[in-house]
Amino acid sequence: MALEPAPRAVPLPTARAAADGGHDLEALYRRFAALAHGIALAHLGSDEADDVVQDVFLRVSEGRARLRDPEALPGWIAATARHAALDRLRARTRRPGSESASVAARAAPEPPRGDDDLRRRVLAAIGSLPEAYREALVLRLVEGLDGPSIAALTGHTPGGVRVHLHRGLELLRPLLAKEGWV
Amino acid sequence: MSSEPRDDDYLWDPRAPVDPEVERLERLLRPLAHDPAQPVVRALAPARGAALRLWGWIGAVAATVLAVVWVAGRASESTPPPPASGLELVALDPQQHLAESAWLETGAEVRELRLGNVGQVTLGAGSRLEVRRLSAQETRLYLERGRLEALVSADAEPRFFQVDTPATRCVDLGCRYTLVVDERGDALVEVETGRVAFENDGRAVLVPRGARCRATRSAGAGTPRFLDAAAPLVEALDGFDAAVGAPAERRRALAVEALRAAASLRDALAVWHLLQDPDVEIAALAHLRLAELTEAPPAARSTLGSAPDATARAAWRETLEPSWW
Repeated sequence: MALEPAPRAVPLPTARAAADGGHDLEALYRRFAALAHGIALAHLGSDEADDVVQDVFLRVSEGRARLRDPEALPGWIAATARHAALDRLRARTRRPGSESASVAARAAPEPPRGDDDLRRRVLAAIGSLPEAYREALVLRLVEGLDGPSIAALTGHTPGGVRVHLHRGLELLRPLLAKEGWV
Repeated sequence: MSSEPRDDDYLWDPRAPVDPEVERLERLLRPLAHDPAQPVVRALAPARGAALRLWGWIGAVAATVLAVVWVAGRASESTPPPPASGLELVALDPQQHLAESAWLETGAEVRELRLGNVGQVTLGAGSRLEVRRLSAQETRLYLERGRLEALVSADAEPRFFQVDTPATRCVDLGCRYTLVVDERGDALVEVETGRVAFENDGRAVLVPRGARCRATRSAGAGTPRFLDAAAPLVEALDGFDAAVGAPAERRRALAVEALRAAASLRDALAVWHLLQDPDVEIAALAHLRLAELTEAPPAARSTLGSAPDATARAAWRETLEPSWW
């Protein structure tokens, strides 16, 4: 039983079109790298966040020509960053003192030894929060994005992001106290 | 600092009056921020390892879960699961710890359930739920009837959270979905965020954000389609899905109607699923239709004109996925 050929509904992506997108890729990188980095940081800690950003934009360079809805690009990039971070997280062997986001906040055995140590502990504490809370807090406190931008980039509603930020901070406070944050 | 969000609160808007606590956290953490001076050129280097798998879909969801879960494909990785610290399933208001084999039934009320730190479930009015398995490796509920909304952290291991229904099993990963089971035991899943997979006798049914899929006790999971799919496609797919067990000629005619109605890459979500139809003629026709909708990936070209093998189906999924966002 044969099908009648349908008129093409979408233009064919071509290798040439993808290759000529270098300039566009730089623009996308400037616009969305902080989003990808923040999400990677929220899940992985700082060790591999930059590598995740590079992986994400390699993926973007390969797949964006096929993206149906350009407005879905931020959501696609966010999801790609999330998956890339979690892939690395699952491949990583847990190490004591790892900045992995899955490490639950623990009572500091001693006061932090300087800002770098405190920074690592605070990030780990943020990383122990539920995903939506930790991503919102990292994007705001680390990457410097404001609430409306976080909502626009992550696809959450502004109201949802507000709740994530404030509830996240509420949950974070006792964890920070344990890490020597006064 | 007040925990009540305000339009002028600094945590929401850095232009608002400074909150010293938040500002102090910003100053401490800002050195970790992305360095915009990092060049993007590295991103174009071809030597960056294997391509990341964006979809690691988990198999079909057997439950008639309304959950639309697009399974994220990590099933083949053998890494230890993240700790689900002291996994508990607790129903709230009133608080009630639920153990394996426990049933929870709602009348007119809605109950919220918390699953450790990895998820939350909202059980609608008139629902009946059983806890079939509760462990750090796998949690499985059974929704006999009613409505369930689930939000599962992406940190959860693949296949960690599953919901059985009379018709199918729903497996999810880092998603938010709604699952409704009616009095007949049939289920409908709609995915709000993330992805869900239905598992049905080895058949993979992937339901991404913004899509829905129905499953019946008699036929299992149907063909997923986006919520905004055109009526002709929806009607044709419903007709095809209802024809399980019909004579082959009848199913093929219905498949042709559905494939003719598929007109865009978005519609290709449904067409992709027909690639795995047990009738190889239907699978072959679906394969041809995909190649008409967009350029076939290299791994699928050798099988055009016939039913695609697993490699070709995976290649099509990789090709089509961006268009489903």
